[in-house]
Amino acid sequence: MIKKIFIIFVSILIILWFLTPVFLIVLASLTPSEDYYDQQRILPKRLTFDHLYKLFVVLDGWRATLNSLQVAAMAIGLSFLVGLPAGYVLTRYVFPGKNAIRLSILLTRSFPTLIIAVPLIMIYLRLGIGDTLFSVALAHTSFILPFVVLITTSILSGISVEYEEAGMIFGLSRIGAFMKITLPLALPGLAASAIFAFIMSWNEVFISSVLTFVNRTLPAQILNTAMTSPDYFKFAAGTVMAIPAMVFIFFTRKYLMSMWGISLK
Amino acid sequence: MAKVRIENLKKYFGSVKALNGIDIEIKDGKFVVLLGPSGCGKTTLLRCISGLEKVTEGKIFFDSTDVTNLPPKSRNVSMVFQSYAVWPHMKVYENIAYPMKIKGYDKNKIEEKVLWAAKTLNISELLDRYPAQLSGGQRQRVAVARAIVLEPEVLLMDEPLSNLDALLRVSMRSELKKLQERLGTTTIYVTHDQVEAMTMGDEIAVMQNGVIQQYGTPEEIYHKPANVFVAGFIGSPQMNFMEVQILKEKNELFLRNESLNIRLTDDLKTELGNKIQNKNDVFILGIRPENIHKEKTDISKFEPIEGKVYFIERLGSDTIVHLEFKGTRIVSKLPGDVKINEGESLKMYIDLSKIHVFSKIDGKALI
Amino acid sequence: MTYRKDAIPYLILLPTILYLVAFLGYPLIQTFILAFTSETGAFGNFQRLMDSGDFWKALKNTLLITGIIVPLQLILAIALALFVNMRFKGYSMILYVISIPLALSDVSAALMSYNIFAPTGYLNKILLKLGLLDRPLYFFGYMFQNREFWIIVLTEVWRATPLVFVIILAGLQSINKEYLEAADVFGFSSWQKLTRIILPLLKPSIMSALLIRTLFAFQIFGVVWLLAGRDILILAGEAYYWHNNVNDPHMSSTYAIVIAVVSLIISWFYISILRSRELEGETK
Repeated sequence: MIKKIFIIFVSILIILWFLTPVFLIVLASLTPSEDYYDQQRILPKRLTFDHLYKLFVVLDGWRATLNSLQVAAMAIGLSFLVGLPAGYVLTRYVFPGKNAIRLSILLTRSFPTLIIAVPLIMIYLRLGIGDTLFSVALAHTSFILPFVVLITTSILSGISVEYEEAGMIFGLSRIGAFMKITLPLALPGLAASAIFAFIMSWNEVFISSVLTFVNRTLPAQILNTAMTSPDYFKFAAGTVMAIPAMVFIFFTRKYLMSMWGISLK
Repeated sequence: MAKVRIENLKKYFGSVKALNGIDIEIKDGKFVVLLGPSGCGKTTLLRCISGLEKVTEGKIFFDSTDVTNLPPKSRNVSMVFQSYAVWPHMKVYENIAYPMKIKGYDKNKIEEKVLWAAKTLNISELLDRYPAQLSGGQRQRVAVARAIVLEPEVLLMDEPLSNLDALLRVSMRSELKKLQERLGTTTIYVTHDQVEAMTMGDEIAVMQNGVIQQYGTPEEIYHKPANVFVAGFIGSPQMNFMEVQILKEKNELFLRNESLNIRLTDDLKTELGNKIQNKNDVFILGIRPENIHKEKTDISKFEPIEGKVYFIERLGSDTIVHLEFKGTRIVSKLPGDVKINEGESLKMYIDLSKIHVFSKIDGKALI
Repeated sequence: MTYRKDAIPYLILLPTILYLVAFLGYPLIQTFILAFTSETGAFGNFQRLMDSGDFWKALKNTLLITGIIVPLQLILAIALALFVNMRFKGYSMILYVISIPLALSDVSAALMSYNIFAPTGYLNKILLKLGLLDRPLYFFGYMFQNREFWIIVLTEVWRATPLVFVIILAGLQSINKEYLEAADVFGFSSWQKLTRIILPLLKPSIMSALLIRTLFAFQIFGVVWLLAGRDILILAGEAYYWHNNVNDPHMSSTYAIVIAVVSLIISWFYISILRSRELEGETK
């Protein structure tokens, strides 16, 4: 009984501690400005979508959001295109130098991405893609790709080779067996890792704000205008950034432990 | 159905020689067991035959077709995997039908064959289920049904019974064997379980260190082991081994060491006499536990040994006696109802017509 | 034929390797070149760095923040992980709640924090409403650096504890239950079980969590930049400032190199501790 009360008590504390800031920022983004600046008013008289509307429409927030989505989509697409076959090779083949390659991919994860941001601008300017979304996507890919390689290695090694071999025995080629047997089995895990990759790109702020001036992603836009815009716009922007990430993590919570285990190694 | 011929097959993984020169010819329609301890290369050999593993050197023929460099799908083999590898995202029906779907069979033909295979394996009522809803034994039946549905030339099985519980394993043994006899498909079956090998195989290839040590019928393997390894690997409890010298005295041959002095029977004398070149060589005497008895019938063919009973394993049907005999331990298998106590002194008799003698140098059997 | 087959894995890995070389390796070299070029010789930028008071302040603050938040997060994370690992009814909901900050960027976390502690923020509103204050309490601004610093610590603890938590929980779940059952059999108290069995077995997880958190904490940027601007100097913030506000890629790169080198030292330090433990384990 005492244990039960303890559990309930601690659970409530945890929920309050972690959810209150989230709740309050959503509340602030929906609070009319006169209520927000009224020191005596904690809960607003009514809720309004004014700030969100202004953020999206008047302040071009929709464009930054769209930019973020495009960057994430490109980075994810590129990372999986290049990284999935690499992950497959690292699980299914035995060859000299495999561990060294794997380790060096792992090592890139402990590498502060901000140190590459400055030279990247010069490279992009030389390539003629300075200040474009594609250039941001390329930079995001440089840290999402190692994650994708490692995560697909772990997902694929969780799928018995024998399924694939059975496919080969019963008439499929090696590639056919991968496409028809292994890929469908790996799909839930791969989808979850794509969502994680999305969150990584969606949240990245340093590189995006260094690399772009006109075509900014949402966090870069916020970082660069936060100090000059009214508070409730900041909170609207914070809400816009937080909600999709929270929803996505809800859908992938089953994979949470393994994903973060990999992405942090 | 096909004859399988393998010539000087080698498979190296880096510096590890998994297969080191395999030569074997498997007759059409035979059930052949590859038997050996783990790491002996039996699974690698099976995988080379299937095409899942590329060979380093040597050739594999199905009948007269050289399949060495063909991918698995072009070999007309099928396989039952150790983990069954029943695809979890397909229902049982689809699992069995898939090999035919890949090969472009028409729908009616597929259905007819799936129903036939399912009926043969007694899984007709499971066709609509997913593998996750099946027990291990049922999954195994699905794997077998999938493997036979296309009537392959060669059926490969990689320790298919090792994941089943003991009771099911015994019943599946006979069922698989009967199925193979009915279908007549050339079957190659990998196991480390000698009982499985002895009961199922028409022929057994005993492997060790990437080499086939002996290829023969179960009777040959058991009664005429080709070398010390095969003699020691087959049979439980293990064969007793003792180092001896062979001495010639007055037209008689003696196997002798500090504790034994055995005069060879006339049959063995002639058989062995021809094979001995150097009198000073050391040999290994091998005696199976069941060939050491508590009673003798004919003094000339039995050699007595006397020692103290060190330990007794009562297995019900048998009694395994560990006898301390002049510094060595000799294991004997006696009937289940013998009255012996630990610590007592016991006299037993070696059946001299059933002894084995191996060369100590290369381990090869002499008699 | 066999030669070509052997090359397949390398061919498939090639794009990944090339990509990482082009977009990580090459820029990294460029960063070095930038950092080591100046009008006053190869070490001119570093000389400038050492001579500037800002660098030392930034280094001090970064180390201070790291030194405070990492142990705090570790203790909190272990407590949370032990709690969740009790596997009570509904624990998966708590697990999700704790993991929410994992999905949030440092920008959102900073904004959430600002929302609470701003002059018109909810904390002030509540305190004013309750009559505990008669004018708002200020947490931000150059005058209130001290308060700013602690708000940053609080925000980082809120935001990044779940990260440590996930690693610790994973480690906790991989502990064989039989060890604890054995402890029960021998009459260990709960406290003894924690200190004698759970924590020692958790050491590898704790070490890797510490490594990761220390590395990330050392690169802290978004939260500080949004909440305090340059009121509180930090290394990554200076790298950003020199690039975006002063337009000096050389100094910016020099800061980046300092961060990279210190990160490397931290990794090496942790890994060598981990390594020596592994060796101990092997000799046993």
